[in-house]
Amino acid sequence: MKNSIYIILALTLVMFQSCKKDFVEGYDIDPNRPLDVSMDVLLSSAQAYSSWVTSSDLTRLTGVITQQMTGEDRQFLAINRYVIAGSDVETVWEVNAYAGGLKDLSILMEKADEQTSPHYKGVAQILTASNLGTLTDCFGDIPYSEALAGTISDGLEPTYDSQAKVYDAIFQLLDDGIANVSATSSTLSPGGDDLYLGGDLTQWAKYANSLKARHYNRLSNTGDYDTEIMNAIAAGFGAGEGATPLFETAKPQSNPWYQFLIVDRAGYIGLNGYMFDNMTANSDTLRTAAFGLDGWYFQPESPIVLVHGYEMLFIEAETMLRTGAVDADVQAKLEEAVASHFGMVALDASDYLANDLVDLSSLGSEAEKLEAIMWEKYVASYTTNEAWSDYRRTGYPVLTAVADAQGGIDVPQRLPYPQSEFLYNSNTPASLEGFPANLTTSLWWAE
Amino acid sequence: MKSINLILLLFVLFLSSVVMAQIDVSGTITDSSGETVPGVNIYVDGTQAGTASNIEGKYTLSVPNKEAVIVYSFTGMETEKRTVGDQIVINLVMREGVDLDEAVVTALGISRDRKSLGYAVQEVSGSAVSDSRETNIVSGLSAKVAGVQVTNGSGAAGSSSYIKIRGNASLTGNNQPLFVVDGIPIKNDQQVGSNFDLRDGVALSNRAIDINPDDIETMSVLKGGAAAALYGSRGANGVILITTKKGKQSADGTSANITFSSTLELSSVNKLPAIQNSYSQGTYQEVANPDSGSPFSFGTPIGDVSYDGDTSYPFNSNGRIIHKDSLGANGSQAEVYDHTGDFFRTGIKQQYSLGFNGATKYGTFFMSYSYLGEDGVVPLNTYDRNTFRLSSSNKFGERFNVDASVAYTNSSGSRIQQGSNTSGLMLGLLRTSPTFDNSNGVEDAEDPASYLLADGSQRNYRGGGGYDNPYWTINQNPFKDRVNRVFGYGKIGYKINDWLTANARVGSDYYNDSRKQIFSIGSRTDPAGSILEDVYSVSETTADLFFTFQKDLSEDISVNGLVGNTWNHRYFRNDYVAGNGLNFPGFYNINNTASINGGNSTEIVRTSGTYLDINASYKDTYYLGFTGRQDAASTFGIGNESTFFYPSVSGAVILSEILELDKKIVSFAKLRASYANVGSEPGAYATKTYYSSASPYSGWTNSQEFPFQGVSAFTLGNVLGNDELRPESTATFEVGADLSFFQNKLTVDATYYSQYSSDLILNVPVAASSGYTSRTINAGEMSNKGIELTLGVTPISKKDFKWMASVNFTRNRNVVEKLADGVDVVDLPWGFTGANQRLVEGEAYGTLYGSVWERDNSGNVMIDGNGIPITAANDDIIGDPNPDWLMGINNAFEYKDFKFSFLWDIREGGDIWNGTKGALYYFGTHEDTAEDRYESFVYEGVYAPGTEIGGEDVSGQANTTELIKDIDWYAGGPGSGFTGPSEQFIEDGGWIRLRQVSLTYDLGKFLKDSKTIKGLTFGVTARNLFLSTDYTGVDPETSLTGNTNAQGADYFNMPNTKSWSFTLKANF
Repeated sequence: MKNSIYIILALTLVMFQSCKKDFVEGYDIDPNRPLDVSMDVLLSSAQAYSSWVTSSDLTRLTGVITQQMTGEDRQFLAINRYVIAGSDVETVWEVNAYAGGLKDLSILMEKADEQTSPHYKGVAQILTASNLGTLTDCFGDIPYSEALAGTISDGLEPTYDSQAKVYDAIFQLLDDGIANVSATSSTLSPGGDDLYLGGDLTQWAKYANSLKARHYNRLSNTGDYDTEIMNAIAAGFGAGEGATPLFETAKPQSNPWYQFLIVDRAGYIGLNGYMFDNMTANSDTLRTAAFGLDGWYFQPESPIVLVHGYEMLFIEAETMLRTGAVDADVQAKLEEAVASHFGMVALDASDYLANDLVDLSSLGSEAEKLEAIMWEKYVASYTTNEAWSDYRRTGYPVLTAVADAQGGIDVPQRLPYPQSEFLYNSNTPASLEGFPANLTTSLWWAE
Repeated sequence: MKSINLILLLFVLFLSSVVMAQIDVSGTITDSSGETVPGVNIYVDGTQAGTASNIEGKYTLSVPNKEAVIVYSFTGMETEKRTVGDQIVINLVMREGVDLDEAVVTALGISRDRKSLGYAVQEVSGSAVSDSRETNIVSGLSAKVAGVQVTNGSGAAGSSSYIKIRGNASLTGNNQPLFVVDGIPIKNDQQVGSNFDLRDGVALSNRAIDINPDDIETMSVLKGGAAAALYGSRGANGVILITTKKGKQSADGTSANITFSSTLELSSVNKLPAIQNSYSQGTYQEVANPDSGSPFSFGTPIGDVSYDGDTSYPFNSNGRIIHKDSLGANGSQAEVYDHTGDFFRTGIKQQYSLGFNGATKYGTFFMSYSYLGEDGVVPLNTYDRNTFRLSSSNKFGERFNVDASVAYTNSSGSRIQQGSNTSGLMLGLLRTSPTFDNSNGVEDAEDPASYLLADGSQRNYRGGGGYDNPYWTINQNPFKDRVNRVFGYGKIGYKINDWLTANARVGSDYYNDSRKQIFSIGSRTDPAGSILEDVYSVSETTADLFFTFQKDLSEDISVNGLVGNTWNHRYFRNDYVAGNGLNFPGFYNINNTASINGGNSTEIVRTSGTYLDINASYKDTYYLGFTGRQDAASTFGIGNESTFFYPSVSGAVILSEILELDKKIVSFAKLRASYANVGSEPGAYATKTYYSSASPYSGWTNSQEFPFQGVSAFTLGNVLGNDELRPESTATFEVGADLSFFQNKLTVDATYYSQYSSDLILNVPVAASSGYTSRTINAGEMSNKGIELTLGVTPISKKDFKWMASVNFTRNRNVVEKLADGVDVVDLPWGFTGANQRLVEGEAYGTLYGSVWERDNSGNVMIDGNGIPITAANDDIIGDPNPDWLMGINNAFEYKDFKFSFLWDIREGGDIWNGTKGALYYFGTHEDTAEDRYESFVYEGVYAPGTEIGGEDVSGQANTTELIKDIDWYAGGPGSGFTGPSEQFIEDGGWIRLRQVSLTYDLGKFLKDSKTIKGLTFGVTARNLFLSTDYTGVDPETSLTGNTNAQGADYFNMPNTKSWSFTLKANF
């Protein structure tokens, strides 16, 4: 009997001693995904995500809000009534911006420093500024200075920077970016991996200056930035230039608008409403055709418009009006702007300019002239987020809230933060969580 | 037909080779009252071979020699043994008593006396599973085992079933039990894949479907805790142990037995949502025709609708619909089409199964073949399965015993798009206006006249837009899969001495699953057309080296157990290629696409463990068991040095041996208790943060994929890896009693368990502004407490008539006790925007979470100045999908040659989000929207703060503003699931159903003179014949997601079925 117990004990010992770790070791690293990557693939990634930040969920929401389009089916009917929830913008933060392009850009900036490649650093700074601009103009205060820390010890609940502070950061990033893309030497420089501008650093400097012009102009209610605006315009995109990256024919590589309007969610948003009605009344038929489902904007390979020279010309016209330029000069600039937009969508503007464009000198007050300029800019800003920002800043065009607006609120002034921020970041401004404050509270630059 | 011919051939071959036994002992068995006893199990001691007494209590058995001992056993009778000696006839009077020697299969496939166990194990006989005639063995367990919840995916051919034992133990990991066949873990996964989404796609199979139910001898359900502790990190969710049939040895060596069964099953849809048939396509009581593209059915009352008589109108051969009073109306009444009634057909399933078992002097042999062919209730939905199995057990000399078994399964399916998907079958079917005929008047489901227009574009109720015509879906968007699978094992046992045996066992499971999904040009999912091909190669190999021992240490004390080591290697590979943009129609090879994307992923997980199991008994009255297992797993990474130890201890006391009880009242009484601590390892590759191919997407579109413009792009992942992960830990305390009264006429098996899981691995969400969306940590805690009760009653047990009833009851309470610090809500990775499942602290696993009305502190719905309720800005809890309790009640009757049984299946509670209804309200096709259409109503609630009506502040006052139930409420207002809160569409998913009714008739008496046919039975089984539920959609049992953790959502689910099956079984 004792023998048998000893045998069992001996067997047990042998078994427990046998080397189990050897069998399992070395299988912990994923063979399918890399732990480190080169700068070129990071840049392409950051640009793809950045395109989707501006040109998918956000432009759809802002397009409906500005009545350049109409929500006609399913949840977009609710959005048309300003039933807009945090869940409607969750992918903007969780997929494309913070956990997407912005994170890749912050890694790219570190790598560019390590690899003494100011050209990559500059491009990353300009793209970061571009994303921050889009986000703050929709959401107001946003996390930036503490955002993207990426480690538990650095904190995963970044504070929210005031919009003024975010704007300071944007201008700083753009100035640094311009300096870096102009550096005389860089170990590595963007080339084919640059999906926006093909590695053309001169164009990147223009892109940065165009963003400066856009955002200084946005602050026109908060102070006098006319000099900065005009300087930036001078160094920005010209009439036929812009950051308008193209897409491809196959669906997984196609334009986000095409994917939404034609393929995945046909009928959810109708290309009609206030803007189309007014354009039709104004004989603006060439452009209404270009704005349709078969038109310039919504083909599989159509570009998205990040910034284009027409916007610089509109800002210039507006600034000239503000600084007291004579009507004829403003009119000439306005015509250039409109022609630039017609040119972008491959149309001849001459007929419209000759017959349909408003004559500023026929209008009495500066307010009326501004309204006329802003109307033209509103039309040209189709499919971008600019029209909503301009509306909130200038009040033009004069929009009437939809009749069945939830709670009878006016045209929304901001977008709600995603619910995930309220749930997981205690710094998220609680006063902006509930309806209607989450939609009706004005942004700093629009106050 | 080919397979049927093959069966016949095999059948003839086997008949000609049947070898009958030669030397017989015979006799008659009676009970104490002198009645003959049929069905007594009679075999030669030391073998598994034998026979059973016939209807007259008579038997004949071959024995090898005079020393042979014959064992007679029968449930409810005391087992008897007789040495043959010189007797040729042995008549026996059996005494009623308790069968104490009932063996059950426990962990690692070891058979143990049930009475010695300190934990709950429930065994289901193979025949109970196969007699249900379910394709899927998991479905065959429905309502048969206490503590087990089975959910059938849908009535679609080849769809999967979900099984859960004692609630969920893991927050985000797998919650399905481990499946083990003959000691070897096998896969029961359901590959979802890189190109598919749980919410759409097709109804996929869980891989346990590859097992032929007719091959199963028994299924043992180890419900977790101590029963499964020997499986260490893989036993946390319980284990389903399947023992397959083996050859039966007779005493003299040679024997042969053939079984054949043939089943024909007819099925039909059992429940559908109610659809209106009183309003035409259109809006605001105006008709609209398909070419308008209108999705709505808020048009003219159909009684007022006629046709314009234009027979060239491609969407309707009667012409356009038009108000009967309009100019051009031809006066004929517009027709109403029964979309679902016209579409679904009678499903047909045929099953043939042939088994051979036999023995020679040296071993046993079992071989089987089965074919199953199913044509589902949806036209063109098919599932076919062929299975082969060979098992053999051989003795070599006195010490070596070699077992081997191999099974091969080949299955193929043709599956149909379902769920949230513009090509989804039910989606297209139920949204169609009642005035549009999807079939275009043709009978043949494959006739393109229903779904194709002359110009090759799609014919549907929205003029080619919207959703695919269901006939288009089944014909033009086929999904085909083919699975080849081999699994089996070899085992060598070496008897070292009379109490110690060494065993080496290696088993492997390998399958290859290739799938092809086609979207033809013009499909609503992908107008340009596309082809997706997916190939999965999955394997698992397990090697065990273990010693078993059994020794009586003294007259009163005996010990048994085992000690061993196991190595497990799991491999997964998926290769996929997606071709987008078909160049021309009708040719569906990837080389006919404009752009091709491909990729693959592989995953290897290795574990190894050492285990020890010691059981001691004293006087066959007190039992004590201990198990221990030490595991190492590759998924922890090298940053973590430790291995993990999982112990369990269990004990049982046979009270009826200790206490002076009247055995006629209390025949048997046992108390048992156990404690175990097991755990789960983390998933593969969770220790680090990796880069992956960039793939931006938005809330309403698919993603952008790289390579793009000739470049690749990589983005840093959003889940922060963690190299300090520990295994999850689940501690289970369990007590129970097994009682038997009135000489087994009443048996009670009751268990209470309390399970506490901690260190649960969780992707804890973090604010996206940190750059990440979650991090993987050991944080969560969850508890499951429950009761399992099994009652057996035999009210009548006469010679000619027997009535046996059994009840099993399951009640589990699950609570997510803790998530991570500062986190009390975590999304689960599936679900719909506005209606999904989450983990919420203090609530049950998978709480339904979605959009809700804005409410004041007293819960009143806030109403705006137009009388419209306000949707809250953020989502909240809307329901609990976990049932309150489950009950299965089976009644079985035996009268002469008839056996009749019926099984009730009751589920109390369990919420379901009826997303289908929410959508149909929007479109105006749901019956509810017709019943109260144009009625005025006031939504109950109070005016929101700041609401003014006519310049007067009415904040807080009860709403009095009337609304009309029309399109402005359902589609324009918040009255539908698309435009309003999903809380409106939460319904109780409880049910009472007649799960199974069976009648079998033993035709044995007609075969008395036959030397070849030993037995013949004919049976009829009906499934889901009756269903009572408050749920207003399809059968609430259905699920889009199959055997995954996702439950409780109905969004255009495929319907379930009811069926009649007819089975003929023969023995030769």
